[in-house]
Amino acid sequence: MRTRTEQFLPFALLLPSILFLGLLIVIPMIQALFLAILADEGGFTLEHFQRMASDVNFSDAWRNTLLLLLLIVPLQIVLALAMALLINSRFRGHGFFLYIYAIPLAISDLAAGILWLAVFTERGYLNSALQSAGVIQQPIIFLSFENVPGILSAIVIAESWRATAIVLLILIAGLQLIPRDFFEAADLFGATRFRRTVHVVLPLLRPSLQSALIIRTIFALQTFAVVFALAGRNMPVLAGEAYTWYAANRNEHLAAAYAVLLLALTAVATVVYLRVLGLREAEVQR
Amino acid sequence: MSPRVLDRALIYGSAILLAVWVLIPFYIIAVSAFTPQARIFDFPKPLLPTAFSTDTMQFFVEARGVVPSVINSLLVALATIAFGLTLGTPAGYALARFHFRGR
Repeated sequence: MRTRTEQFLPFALLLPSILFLGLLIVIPMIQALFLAILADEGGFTLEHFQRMASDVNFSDAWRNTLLLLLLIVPLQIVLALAMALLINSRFRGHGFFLYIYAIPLAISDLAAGILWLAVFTERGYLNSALQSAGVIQQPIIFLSFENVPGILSAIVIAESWRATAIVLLILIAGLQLIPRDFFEAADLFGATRFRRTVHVVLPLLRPSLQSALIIRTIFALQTFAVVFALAGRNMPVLAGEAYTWYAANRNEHLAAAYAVLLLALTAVATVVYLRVLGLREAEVQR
Repeated sequence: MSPRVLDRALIYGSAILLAVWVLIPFYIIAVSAFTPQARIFDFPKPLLPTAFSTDTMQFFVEARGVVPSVINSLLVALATIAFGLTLGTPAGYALARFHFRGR
């Protein structure tokens, strides 16, 4: 029989962080929900959501957010998986390369956006390189609102550059959980490196891939600073609209409506990943 | 080439390619920061460091608010680390060490 202290100790240890999260996350979340459905003259209303849906930028913001999500997340997973598998092959000097791959983790998202702005702007480094190589005669305007593919690729490249490192770290941690014996067993049975990767490593890596997918999807829905640095409002996204309505247009109700929409999207995405990819509780607890 | 050498070459080749992708923006920003101010608006911009100057960096360090903002960032970072560890360590220990309802 366990003593009373032992029963309550874990809860006592968890209490500070739970209080903190409650105070700074749950309460503001509820406040935002109320802001989104409260009318100025009192009572509840769906007016803010209607106004959000009929806003000129709404359908663009919606489309751009999903488009960025669909382009960025798979690219990052593939890039990070390539990096993680390379590092995990433990070639001589793999530690050095891991450090290099992890550097963008230390760059703030706005700084990363400005960094890539120096590359993609009209008289930036990409146009300089192209013109010096004689590929173009005139600088190409990548970041004009008329050049949607240009803006989109610039944002996808900058975001993939910036946030691949976090996926990499999750995957490396997952790879290190796989006992080396499994690789040796695969080698013993004559599996090539390719077959070993597909049939042994990837299935065992599934839980990490799922966490990486969930985290990256949530962050991709919130993509904001990089978009603002590269495109301003030429490329409206949902998180950016929430910010603009709050900071520039001073309409906290509409901003809250956008925030609630993002929250709902995030929740739906997480549930879909957990269901579709079949992450069972036993695996989470592993 | 023997298969082993080819294998090595493939591994190092891709590792270096990925490293270049990560490092290129840093190279560009470094070239940009150490180019003389008069030449920074040239087009096409030099991709190799042709002229070196610390003018821009000097201007940056001496600009009003740069030093205080660095200090502020450091203070915020330190406080965040202290606070996060204080709250997170007991919670992490509880989750890892004990099995209880609602874990």
